[in-house]
Amino acid sequence: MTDMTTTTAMAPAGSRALRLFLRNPNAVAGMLILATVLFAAIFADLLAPGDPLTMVAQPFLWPGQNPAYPLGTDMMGRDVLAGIIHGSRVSLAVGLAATATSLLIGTLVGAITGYYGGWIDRVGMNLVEIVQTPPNFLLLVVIVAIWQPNLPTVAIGIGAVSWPTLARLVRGEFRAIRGKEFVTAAHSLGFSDARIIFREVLPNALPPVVVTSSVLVATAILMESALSFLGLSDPNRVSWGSMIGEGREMLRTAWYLAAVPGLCIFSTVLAFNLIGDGLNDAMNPRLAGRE
Amino acid sequence: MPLLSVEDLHVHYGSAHAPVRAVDGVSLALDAGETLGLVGESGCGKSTLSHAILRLGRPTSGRIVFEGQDITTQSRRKLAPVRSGMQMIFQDPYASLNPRQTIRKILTAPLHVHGIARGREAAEIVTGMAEAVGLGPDALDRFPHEFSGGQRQRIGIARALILKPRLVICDEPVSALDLSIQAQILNLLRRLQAERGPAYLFISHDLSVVRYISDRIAVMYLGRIVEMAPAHRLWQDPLHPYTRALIGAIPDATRRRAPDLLPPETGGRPAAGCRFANRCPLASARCLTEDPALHRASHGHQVACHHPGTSAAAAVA
Repeated sequence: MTDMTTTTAMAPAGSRALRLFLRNPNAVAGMLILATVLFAAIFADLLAPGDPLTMVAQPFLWPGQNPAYPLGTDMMGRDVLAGIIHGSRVSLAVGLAATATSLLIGTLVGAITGYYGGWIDRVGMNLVEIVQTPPNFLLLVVIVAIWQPNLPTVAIGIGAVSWPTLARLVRGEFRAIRGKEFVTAAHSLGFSDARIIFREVLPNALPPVVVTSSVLVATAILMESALSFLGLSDPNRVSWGSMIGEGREMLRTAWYLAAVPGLCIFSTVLAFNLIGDGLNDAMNPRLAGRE
Repeated sequence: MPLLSVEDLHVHYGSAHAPVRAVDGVSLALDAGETLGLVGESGCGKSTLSHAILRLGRPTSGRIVFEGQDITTQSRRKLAPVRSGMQMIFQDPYASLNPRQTIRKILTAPLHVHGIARGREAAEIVTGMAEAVGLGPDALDRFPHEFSGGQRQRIGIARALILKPRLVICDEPVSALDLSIQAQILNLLRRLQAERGPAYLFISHDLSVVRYISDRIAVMYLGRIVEMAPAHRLWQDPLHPYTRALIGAIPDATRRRAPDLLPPETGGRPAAGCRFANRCPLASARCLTEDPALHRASHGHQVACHHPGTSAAAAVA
């Protein structure tokens, strides 16, 4: 019975996984939040024209005080809503670019170490341990401090400290899959290593990678916010983290300055986690019977 | 010149001072178009032998010559063109097909990799091959999980034969299937051999299946071939006590007596002598000290035993 359910669920019945995913209310909620953030990011220039860093009104307008600025203004008279809308671009872009970076490195390292084993595996895993030993965030601060703090370096820096998780995951999948008979069959058919790694094994290793990636996006958004909060990210771009950092000093008099962007980070990270959970449930063969 | 010849092949695993001798001095030859059955109990080294022949593992010592070419230690690069000549049909039709590829992709990839055909031409070869194994054209765009075990084994056979190999190693190809499906697959293999002419090395633990399909049969015990003869000869006049026990253990409706079962092992395996001595009803003092080599008993019939053809009853008397 286990045999049957495993093979059925491993099958590329993408439509089946999608159906399961869309039936999960948490996952759908996550998708809705993400769609809102995505909408704000794409149409930022239409929703809030002009530079969000310009002063537009008197400072410390509370949310709702002036209908033109529904989320109020900060200590310099800048529109909080405009900052939130433009900040979504930074968060999403950094989150996605950082995840793409760590996917690229992590999948490659994991695939090669897991597939070949032996000394290649030992070298690769030592590398992983070297990167994992210092606290991620500390390493990130060092990387960003060495380079120019602009968005691409922040994204690459986050990717460069977070790939080991993926590498370990992909390595484990490869070690499990490389012993299967269809891989032996590929060897006996004379397929090249590259073909076996990327066309035979990798597609079968992807489901847990997809799930982990969605959580990685969330982690990357948090890391970028933390960097901005400390003032170590790109100073010329509004981001949710930098808004919290600046609002922190006014926490007693104007708490909304920190709370509003904080709520945005919270919901976006939550959305990615909900999506990750939903994907996990939809793609996990052991839960396949729960239709 | 035989299609395949294996000479004194050893495959050892584990540490150098206490290796597991999975294949321990096997020699055999296979002619083009013939079927050699290889029987033996689980763990006797049948699969290790087949993997070594296909060079999916590296042999410890010995020689493998395929179509006149010594492939024992060849590099992967040099083996690549040889691979199209020797293929394998696997035991588990569920694990041996990539669950994320359509049947069309599974069958087309070998043609691409070996530069045999592309595009329309490849599609025609694939359709023809699917037809030859009894799969309709609508099967090609489906995924392996949509098929039954027997149909999957047909797909595995199509994949093995699509490169027109001269040698196909069938590693227990029917042991995972229902009895009724077994017969279908065996008949399919016979028909494809008649049409396309590959030689089969047919591995099984089931002597009756091997007898049905083989021209010659080799019996393997603990990493070594103990008897090899034409199928009918082996069946009518088995010489090795292990072969006799295997044949005697087959349930038979016409024979109204209990099958002769082997006695359980008594003591450990002798260090110097025959590897079968601790289970053999005929074991003598010589068997404990001298390892019998595979020698010719009659034309085409080889056996590795000091007391070939002696029945257990005669030995006691």
